[in-house]
Amino acid sequence: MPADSATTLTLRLAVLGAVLLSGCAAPEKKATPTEHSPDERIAYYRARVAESPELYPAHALLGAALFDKARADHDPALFAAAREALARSLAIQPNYPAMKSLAAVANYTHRFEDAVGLAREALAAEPEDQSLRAMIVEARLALGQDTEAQAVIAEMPDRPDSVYRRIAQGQLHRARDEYDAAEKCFAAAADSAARLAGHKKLRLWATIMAAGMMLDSGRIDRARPHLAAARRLDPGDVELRIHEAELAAATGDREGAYRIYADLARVSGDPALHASAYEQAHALGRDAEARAHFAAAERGFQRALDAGEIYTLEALARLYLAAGVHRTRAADLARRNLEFKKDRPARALAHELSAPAQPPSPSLPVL
Amino acid sequence: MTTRTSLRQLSLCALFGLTAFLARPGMLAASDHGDTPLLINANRRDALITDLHVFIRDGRLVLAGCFDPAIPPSATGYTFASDLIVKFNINKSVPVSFDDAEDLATYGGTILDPARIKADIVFTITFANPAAPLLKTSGVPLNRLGEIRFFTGLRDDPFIRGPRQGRNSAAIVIDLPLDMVVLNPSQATLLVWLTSRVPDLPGPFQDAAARSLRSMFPENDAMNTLEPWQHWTVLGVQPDVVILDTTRPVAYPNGRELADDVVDLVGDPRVLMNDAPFPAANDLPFLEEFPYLAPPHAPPPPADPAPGGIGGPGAPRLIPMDVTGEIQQHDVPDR
Repeated sequence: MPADSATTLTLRLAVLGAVLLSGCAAPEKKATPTEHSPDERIAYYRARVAESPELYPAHALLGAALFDKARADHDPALFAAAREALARSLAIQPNYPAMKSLAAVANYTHRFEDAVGLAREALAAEPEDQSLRAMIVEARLALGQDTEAQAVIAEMPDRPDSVYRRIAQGQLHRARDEYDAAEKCFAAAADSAARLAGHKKLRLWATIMAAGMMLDSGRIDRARPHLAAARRLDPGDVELRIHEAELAAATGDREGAYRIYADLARVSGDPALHASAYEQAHALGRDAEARAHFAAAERGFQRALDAGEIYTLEALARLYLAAGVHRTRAADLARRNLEFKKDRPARALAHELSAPAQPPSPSLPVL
Repeated sequence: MTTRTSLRQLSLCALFGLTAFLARPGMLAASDHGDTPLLINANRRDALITDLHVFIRDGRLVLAGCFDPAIPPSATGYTFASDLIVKFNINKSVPVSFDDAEDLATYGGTILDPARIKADIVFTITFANPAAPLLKTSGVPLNRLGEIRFFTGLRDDPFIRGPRQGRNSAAIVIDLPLDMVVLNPSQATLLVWLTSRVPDLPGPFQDAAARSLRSMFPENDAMNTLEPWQHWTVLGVQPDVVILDTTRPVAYPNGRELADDVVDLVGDPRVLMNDAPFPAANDLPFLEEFPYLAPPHAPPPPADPAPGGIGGPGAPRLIPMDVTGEIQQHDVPDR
């Protein structure tokens, strides 16, 4: 049996098996193909569209799976593959799932203008999908459009279960450095998510974000309870571990912070985590490790740019700034970043890099 | 605040990749069109049944099913998914009584032997070739197939309900002479139900529709994956079917005419509470002739130019808009 058919059969049997088992107890918890790993879903939906090229829901689901894999593997080529599958789906029949996934891809890859347009189209198809409004808020904030973001929040119903409204409000407060208000909103979002079945990840994320607001404002002790709550939900969550590293760094435990970042970077290959590991290694004077992490971060960020993506422009500029190298290039990257991302951090970075460089510090590692 | 901010910003976008399709009915504001969690979680809203109308027009029985509550307003046509299987089912042999006033008002009658409900007539529609949907029939006279009319495509959403005004639906409409179905007076009362099936997903079908505003509620979700006779034998409730006494005028709950304002007629507060502006009639006039449903609303003018380099909205369509396909006969499998 060809490998693709074997995978398809295995997946169908696995789905059926999960259903038969789960159906005996709780019919509403049946497994669907969407609950499998990205690799399994990619193989499955690739086989489906090969069998039925006009099956546009399968193209949409393939695109969503490719997006998930792109984020997990940090492989920029997969974003293009995701867009292609989603565009194919939309070319056969305009449909909400493909539009929403395409909006999410656009948002994630920093094509914020496109994200707003696509999310608005998807919202026209499903006006009650508040997660789309929250996505638009995030995109507007990234574009430096606070007022427009606020207007979108005003469209969102304010009810006890309004998780996404609270998230959107938290994002707006964060953009304005209103950390206490942001913390409250994210904590409230976590509480709302806790009351709804099947939203554990959302609850976890919101809890971690609440912690992040306190870390950002230097109130370490107020971050701790949120991190403890998140740990009770999922101690191995990557976002949680990243915030634990931030906590360690904020309390002067650079070794602890470095260990976490280095471990996560080693497992995931995420260039952003290598960049964080570089910063800690550099501060600790661990030159060899710093160089290795710098190289991995630079390679990863550049790989995305080489693939035609733009979401690593700011990250690479920051890396160069932190290392005190390639200042001209960093300034170019920051300037180009402003074409797509116009929030305060992006503008501040471009401004900083446009100023004359300070004399190099003798403590910087030789790269 | 450097890399940390970047990481935190990216994470929300990433989360949407996970949560995008975890919507539960509780997360949406009382969406009343197709809340079958199985299909929603599998991202197959295209298979959600949004309406079933069963009425008689000039001696012809009309079955109109609508699907996909989330058609983007920018769509100018509709291609059904090539794996979708739709069935209109008719039973004409199980007796129905009209003596119980409560049952008559709620369901259109009392089914006297609900465990015996099976489809005597089935219209199966498939879309293996989306440009030429196939209608297979069973239980109707072979020599009269040419009298059946069959339509699929984008239509105005016929649901008389505030949030659905201005929206379109994917419609399948069949009509045929009533005397092809009711062959003698003992078959005058029909039980009708509609199912949709995505073969990738578990169960004989994943959505079912019959009497308005019943199986769409969470407490009745199990009805969507059970045959009507199983509503009785497994759930212990009156089977969810449309009862149509063809000897009486069609008016909900005796069948369902296009103009029946079922939101008001059923009066469920969960639906009434968000029905603004509380329409009593459809936003577009229905047609006097087949396929009876109003033509689709035109797409709104684009607010922004289509994003460049992404494709999608605005990309050329591959399939014609409305199609009528081939009609074939097939045998109904035993239950």
